[in-house]
Amino acid sequence: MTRRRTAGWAALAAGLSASVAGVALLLQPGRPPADEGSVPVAAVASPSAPLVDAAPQPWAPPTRVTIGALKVDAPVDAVGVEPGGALVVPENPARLGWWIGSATPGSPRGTVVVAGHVDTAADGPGALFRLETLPLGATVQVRAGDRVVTYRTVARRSYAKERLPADLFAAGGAPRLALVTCGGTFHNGVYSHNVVVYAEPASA
Amino acid sequence: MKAMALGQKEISQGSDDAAQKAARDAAPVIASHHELLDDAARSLGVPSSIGTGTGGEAAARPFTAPVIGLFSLGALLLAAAAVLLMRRRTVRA
Repeated sequence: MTRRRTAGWAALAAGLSASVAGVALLLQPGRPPADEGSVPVAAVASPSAPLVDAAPQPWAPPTRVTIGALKVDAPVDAVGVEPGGALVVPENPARLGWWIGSATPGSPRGTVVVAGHVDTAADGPGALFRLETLPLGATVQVRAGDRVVTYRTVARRSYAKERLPADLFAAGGAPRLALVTCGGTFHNGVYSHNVVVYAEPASA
Repeated sequence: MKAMALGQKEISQGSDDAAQKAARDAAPVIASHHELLDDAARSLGVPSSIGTGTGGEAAARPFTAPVIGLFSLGALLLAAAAVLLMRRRTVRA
């Protein structure tokens, strides 16, 4: 057998293996996206920290989120928490919800928590349908009042539902944006995971 | 929230010195009110879950990047194997 034919058989075996692996993945849709990047630290603010920073800060709620890489330009509503503890997310999947207990864009500390539907049974794909494909380093712009605060994505995490990290909702810590939607497998009308993309202020 | 935004607009864009000073002086007070509002929002409860999908379409996406990558690699290797294993034929004029 010549060296050429040996290489040919090796390529055939490798090619078939790759194709079989592709088929295996194809038959297992709904896996949550892999974690990537380092999550910015969200330590609880020190009790001795001043209540108000010396320089006036632009505290205004977010009204719009733009993700150029995903062609997303979605309005944002201020939302609260249901009695059962679930975050209220706008029914319209084209709109996003900013938790009123979280930081405002441009604040010197704290997490800006913005959630949106990946999809709904009634209306199909939502504003964050492709959030899990957003690459690290992508730009996210958040309009708040007259300002536009630019963030850069630094990490992606998949958390099993009901196991969201407490620090996502903690006050204080490094200024960051957390975009939250659903992902993973889908059974009985609910997804198995939350997909969270973390971003830091671009100027930081 | 609106007061904060209006105050910031006056500070950054206002033309009246007195109004700008008033807005600047009020900013820390308004900000402290925001902190209180933020605390009030937290006292109503911190989210324990976030439900953002009821359609199931996202779970049915079959052709993800790894799948496409594996199929592309497989096709490339199979094409290479075909070229390498194909017997050379002599072309007669």
